[in-house]
Amino acid sequence: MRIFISGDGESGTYMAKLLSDENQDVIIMGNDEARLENLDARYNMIVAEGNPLSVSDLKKAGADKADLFVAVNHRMPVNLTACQLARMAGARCTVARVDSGELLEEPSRSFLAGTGVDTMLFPELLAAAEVKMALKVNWAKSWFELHQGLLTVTAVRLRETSPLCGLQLKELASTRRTFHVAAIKRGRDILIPRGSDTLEANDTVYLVTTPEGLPELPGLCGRKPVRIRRVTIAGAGKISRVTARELAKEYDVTVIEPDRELCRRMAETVPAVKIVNADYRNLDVLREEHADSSDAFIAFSGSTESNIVSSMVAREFGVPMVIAEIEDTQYIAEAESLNIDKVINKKLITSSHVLRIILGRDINTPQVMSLESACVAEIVVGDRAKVTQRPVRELRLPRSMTIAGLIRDGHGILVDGDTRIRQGDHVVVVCLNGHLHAIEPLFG
Amino acid sequence: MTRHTSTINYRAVLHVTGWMLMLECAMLLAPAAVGMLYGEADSHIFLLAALCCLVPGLVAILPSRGCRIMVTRRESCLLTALCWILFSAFGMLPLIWSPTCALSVTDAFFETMSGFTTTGATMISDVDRCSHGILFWRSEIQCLGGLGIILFTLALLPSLNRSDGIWMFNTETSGITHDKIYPRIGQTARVLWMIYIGLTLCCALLLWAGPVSLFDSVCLAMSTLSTGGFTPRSAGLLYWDSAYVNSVLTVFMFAGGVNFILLYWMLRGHWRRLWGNDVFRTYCMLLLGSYAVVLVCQFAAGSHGGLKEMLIDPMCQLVSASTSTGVTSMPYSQMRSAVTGVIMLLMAIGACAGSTTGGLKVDRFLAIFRNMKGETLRALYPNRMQCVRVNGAMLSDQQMGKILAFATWYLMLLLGVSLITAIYGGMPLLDSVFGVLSCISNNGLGYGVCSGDFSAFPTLSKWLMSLLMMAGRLELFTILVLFLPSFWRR
Repeated sequence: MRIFISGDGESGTYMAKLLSDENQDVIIMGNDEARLENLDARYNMIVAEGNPLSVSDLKKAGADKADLFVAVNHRMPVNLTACQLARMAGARCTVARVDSGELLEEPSRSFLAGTGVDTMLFPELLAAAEVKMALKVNWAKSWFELHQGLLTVTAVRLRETSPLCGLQLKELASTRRTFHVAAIKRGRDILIPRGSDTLEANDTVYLVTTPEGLPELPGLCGRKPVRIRRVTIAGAGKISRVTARELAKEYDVTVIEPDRELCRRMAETVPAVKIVNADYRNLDVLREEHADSSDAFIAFSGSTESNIVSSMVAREFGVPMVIAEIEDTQYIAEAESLNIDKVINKKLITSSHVLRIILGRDINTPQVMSLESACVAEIVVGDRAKVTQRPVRELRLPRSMTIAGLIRDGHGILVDGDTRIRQGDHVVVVCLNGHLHAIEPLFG
Repeated sequence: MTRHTSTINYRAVLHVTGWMLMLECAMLLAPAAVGMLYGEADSHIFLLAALCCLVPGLVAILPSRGCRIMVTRRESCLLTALCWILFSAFGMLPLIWSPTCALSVTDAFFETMSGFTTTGATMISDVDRCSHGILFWRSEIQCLGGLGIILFTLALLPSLNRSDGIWMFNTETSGITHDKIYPRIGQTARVLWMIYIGLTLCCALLLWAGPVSLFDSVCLAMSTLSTGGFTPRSAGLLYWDSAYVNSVLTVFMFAGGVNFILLYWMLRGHWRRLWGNDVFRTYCMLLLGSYAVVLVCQFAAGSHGGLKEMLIDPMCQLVSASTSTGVTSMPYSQMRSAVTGVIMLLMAIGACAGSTTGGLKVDRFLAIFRNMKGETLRALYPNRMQCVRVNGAMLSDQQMGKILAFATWYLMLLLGVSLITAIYGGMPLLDSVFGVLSCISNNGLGYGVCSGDFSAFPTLSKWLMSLLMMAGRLELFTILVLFLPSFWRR
């Protein structure tokens, strides 16, 4: 699939690398010569210099033959117009990054779709939705429902208190099974486990469960769901504004921000929150505003380092749920090892949504979720597919993937070695990034 | 363009003032016509007064013809104040000359200022004796003053229909912020005047359909929509003593207390905007709340009467107090002091900004109230951001500061002039406070010695109160700034 990325900023380059690893044909167009040269030398992609608003530049770089055109330039109007021009030139599908939630609502959305902007991604809103989900399902790191909850994929970090710690997967198989361990993330590595792998404390495990098994999960992972009422947000930048607006309906939100102007803007856009005009690094202020007794602390100060430090302070206070925005992708693993419950990274979120669009278009998959370096895909098993011929145990599936569950006749079923997959099943596959293509033929 | 050597562009001031006088000259022809229609002996004095306006007007306009009117903040404050003073100064001439009322200069100036500022406090103890010309003139000046002399001029004079006009519009219009319906100030002014005149006509027709004579209903309608409150009868509303008249007046007084821009949207069918408006809701709630208090007081006092006395009159009285109309429909002076208190509170708060009413305005009251609440909370959380919202829009710290300064000035002026009146004139404190409050909030209700007319006040107080009426109508700052030495110096 030919993917054209306009914009060589951080998101653009990150996305280009990710998609290139995913074996897609990536063309990236920007105007930072040094950065483009660097990408050209290290990665498998075409780089081009050019103006996203010039049709001849777009055509020269190949946007007219692109299956997907993604505009992630700094300015929103450029992204919208670039998408429209690319569509005019012949791109099949377009995605624009925007910075206003209003455009996502009707009738602007359909109007823009009519003029050539198929999908709009508003990273701050996506981040806010993640935060909202994280507060709702606060014992898990991520949460993804397939087919209205017939199967659920959850990422949970195992605490030392979890009864699963130290168990081999083989041993689990002999007990009553309510979940399937689809992947394990240990430090920076993600692995698809075999029977001989052991679960350890502080692993992040990706579990696939049926609705019946769901209530047992928090206990098995050594976690307890917290009822969240009071939320403190450090920082009042754009991401905080959008998040506060999303959260204000359900929670009691306090925003702490040293900059007076930002406080004013927050007060103008979100009337329902309490706004404190003070430094969130000042412990006295945090105590005065009861940040120490709030149920969740969200560090959205705009600086990764400040966010890590204030999250640590919040942890020290004993806040049960700590969320931090870590924009530097290198720090994500460190932040997780520091016990931050949920890391928000706008680039990652945006890329995973783009990936979803790509995978959704490419394979016959109703839904796809991208994890940090693995993805979950729901694939419909085709006619005479290879996987239907033997039970799973005898299929000799590649090591980079696992079949976690399937949906048949409106029921979610966990898959083990003896399961026989039938034509028409919706199979939930977890595989490492870049391998989805390789396994596609298995399912016909 | 010539360079001005003085701080203030006096030529421009002269030019605009000249045009204003011409306008008053034209206005004076109306009562003259009414007088002639009724064949009254004093109709010629209106023509004389018109001539008195015409001559200085021409003298002011002719030499400054063709000069570019450069009006800035300074000139617009001066012009607005000058215009109101001159209008009153020339407008009082018929009241002095007419043998049917024959007021002294002090009383006539007070009366005219009371008319233009739609206060409605009167110096004429026997209104019934006045000629039709005088009565019509009293109502006409209220009608003009209601929406604003400047706004009227803006609707008419194309030469002011530029950015210069905006300054003047801002000095006269009430409220924290000034909305516009149309991008051009002249269009906005015309639409507002059309709504105003349309409502006045409706009111007049409805009254005429009832027990009121044509002449009286026109006069009454002009004083009602402008929330002025002059009545063409000495007995006031008691002359008709009709539930119908009081109900009609209540409805139109209430309309006069609503922001005219909201009325515009309502007439265009946007009812949601009306009820969605914070200020309008508070205005209604305040009225209903005080209505309940008065009804309870009446019940406790064991008073009894018909539907009119028990239900309509109290509502009429409260709306009259709140909208600063100042007509009397019930003997509140003889009722419990709780009723007087409620009436004084309504007088001080007033109705919505952008209407024809006076007082602090509900907008400011809301802002002050919410600010008080927020600041109290800040005693506990000193770093909390203070967000005062009126109608969903957040007030800046500057706006809030200005509102608080306004309220402080209002209170200081009220107390200062009341004390002067009480000490100098030897009047009961409550009476003088009530009277001064009535003037500064352009209300016109009286209590105790001034319950009928205001002639009992000492001369000094009358002049001070005339000034207060003007300051109250022009929202204090436009007038107060004239007393700053730096206004006159560069």
